[in-house]
Amino acid sequence: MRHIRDELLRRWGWKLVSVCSVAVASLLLGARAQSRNSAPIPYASIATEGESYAGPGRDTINDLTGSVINIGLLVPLHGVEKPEGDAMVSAAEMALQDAGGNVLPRGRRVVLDIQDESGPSWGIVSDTVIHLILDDDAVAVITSTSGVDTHLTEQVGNRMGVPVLTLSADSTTTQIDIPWIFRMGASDVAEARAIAQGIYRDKGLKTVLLITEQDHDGRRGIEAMDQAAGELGVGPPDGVALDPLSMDFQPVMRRIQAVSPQAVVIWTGAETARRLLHALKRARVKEPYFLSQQAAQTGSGMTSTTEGGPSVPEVWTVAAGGEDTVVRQRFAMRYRQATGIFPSAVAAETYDAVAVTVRAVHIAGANRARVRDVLVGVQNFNGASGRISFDHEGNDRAALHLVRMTEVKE
Amino acid sequence: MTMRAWIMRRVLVAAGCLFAAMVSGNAQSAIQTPALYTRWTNYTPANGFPAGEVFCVTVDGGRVWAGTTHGLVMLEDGLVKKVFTQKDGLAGRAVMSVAVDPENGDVWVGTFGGLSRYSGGKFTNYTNMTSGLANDLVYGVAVQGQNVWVATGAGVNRLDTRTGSWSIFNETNAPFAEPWGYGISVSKEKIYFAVWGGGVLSYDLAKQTWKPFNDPDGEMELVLYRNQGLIHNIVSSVSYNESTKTFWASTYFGLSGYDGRNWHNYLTKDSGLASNFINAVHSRGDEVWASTQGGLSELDTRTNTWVSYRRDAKTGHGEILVTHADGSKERIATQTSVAHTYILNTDFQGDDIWVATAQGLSHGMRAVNKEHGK
Repeated sequence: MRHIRDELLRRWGWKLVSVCSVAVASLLLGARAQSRNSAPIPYASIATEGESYAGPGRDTINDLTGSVINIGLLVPLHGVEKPEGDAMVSAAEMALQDAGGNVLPRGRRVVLDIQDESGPSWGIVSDTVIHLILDDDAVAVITSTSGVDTHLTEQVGNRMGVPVLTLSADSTTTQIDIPWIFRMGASDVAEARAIAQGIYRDKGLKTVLLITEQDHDGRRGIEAMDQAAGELGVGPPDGVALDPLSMDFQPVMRRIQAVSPQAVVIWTGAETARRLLHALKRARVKEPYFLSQQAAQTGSGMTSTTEGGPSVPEVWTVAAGGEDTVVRQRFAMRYRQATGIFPSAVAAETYDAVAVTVRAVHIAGANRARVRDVLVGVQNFNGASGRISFDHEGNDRAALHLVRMTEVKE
Repeated sequence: MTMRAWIMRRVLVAAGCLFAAMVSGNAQSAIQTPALYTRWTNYTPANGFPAGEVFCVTVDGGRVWAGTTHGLVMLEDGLVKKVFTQKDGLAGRAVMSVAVDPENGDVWVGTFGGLSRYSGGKFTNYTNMTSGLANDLVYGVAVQGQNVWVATGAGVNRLDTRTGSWSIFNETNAPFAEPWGYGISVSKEKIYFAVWGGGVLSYDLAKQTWKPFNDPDGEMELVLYRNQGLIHNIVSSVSYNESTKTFWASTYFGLSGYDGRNWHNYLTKDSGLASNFINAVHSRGDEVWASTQGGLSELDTRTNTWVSYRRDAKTGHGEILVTHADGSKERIATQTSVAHTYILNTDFQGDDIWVATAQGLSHGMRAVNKEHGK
């Protein structure tokens, strides 16, 4: 036997070694290429394994009693965000009237329970949320674009079983499998993607400065823009974070001089955006500006309609797509008649939030869990902000695109 | 050795091995079912208990405290003795947490309205406006020596009960990704905090240092690898187990345990966990109890056996589902059950378990001790 083996090795040994080496090398290279080209399959995903609400509360014994059913509206009524709050209140009142909030069975009616969120989030606002949910028995609460206040409301809503409809773009409010939260507009990740695609892909710009505020929403904006840039294969934008209390724009000016950006993204509150735009224009910064939805609200001095005057340099923001339906046109016309200004995205989304909530009360009655169930099923709702369909996380799935803004005429 | 003898010997050895395996298997299955809770007494409006959710339950010797939507309930000898409300001086209507000071018996109550101290038959309240409390949304409270730790919607507080001084820890002076404190667990050396959006934080009492434990994949919507680290950053509660030196964290997307070396993560798809949506966790000895929206689940870490308790909403009877380490399942029906399948919290009174549910408080007794032992 041994001599046969020795003979085989003598005749074929080197060839075998060569063939095996090539085979092993091919396998290794193939495996490496595969690992480079294919992302790992996640162990679990909320998209496929998230759970719907399995708790109680749907029985009639849990129905809210009383002749008045409150929809909580947590809005800024003082300070720099007041224009946003005013817009929300005007739109909400219009929606309540249009949705038939005063024609419920047994003479019951839906009313708006408007509460001010202008105070410090950690103090007064927490108590206001508790008041709305525990004392006023709000059937649902609608929150503004403030991510912090939305989180506070969401956490209480999750414990107490109260639907929360938010205008906040903060992605993390809905990425957590909490069954009580619904977002009326775009998430910050979706906004950042639309802005990044407009800047990097469509306009071919490369150097970008991101201006945020030193707060929760600012941090989320940075994360979202970094992610969106990464998805397009470019590095994160250069950034500067402002102290929202000081309104000192010198760090921005210094950063602009240092970076020479081709585009400036402003991811702040509307009042900061207004002052910042003014300062940048005075400093003759001519590169195009891209505003997050929160920055582009009424207080920014800009509008996403053609009603205003031309803006130089260009100012862009993101908006939901879709056809200009009769509902949108009618809302825009009536809102302008009532307030004298064209509706912002916040106004349209608030109108829709009230509309879908009143509709849910009509269907489900005055019961928080059943109202939640109806909201979960909202699909293709023809609203003032576009057609609304909630996904499994409670996000409105409307597609976004960039729209050019004009300056509000004084 | 002849061929026949060789074959006989091989057959005998194989048979011996098979027998040994069967005996071992039987013995293993005999020890793989933890003691079951088969008898339940429920506290609902029918026997004087407030309606609605029971957010927390804390055993205090022979006394049991329960935090509800409508106040703080004190039970003694299995009876509702008193329901404390804001009229009695409680800081808020909805009670999220209760901790008892073992030194003096003071009861600390976390409410949606501030922190209350029940001492000598009177309430003293601490709110954002009247004290150093960071926020009136108090989710968790725990006593450690002379300090009371408070998890609030705006960070964590430490109240030194001897000096009356308050300290606050949040994103400005500790590694809080978000300041929303949700739960607290005290060990001899460390305090563990459950942070909504910020994972688990531990505070070393001797070194006065912080250590964060976060979801390493950085993705809120997915878990990249099973035992990657903390399973999700939205942590609803944390429980440190002194005997196993492991902390357990409940999230709204799975259960995580960390023993100092390895992570142990569980979702429904590969365990007997009743639901991935977990409101609270409590660990003692070899047991880990998860309060989920789909039932009460126990993991016996010694045998890797899961036991889940549910209520049949139609009949009111109970169902126990045992999931053995090998994946086999066993269903056991019980006459009584937890008050509701949506579970919010647990605590123990000796071998008995107290369970806070979305519709009442439940007292569970083990089969061996209370039924067969009669």
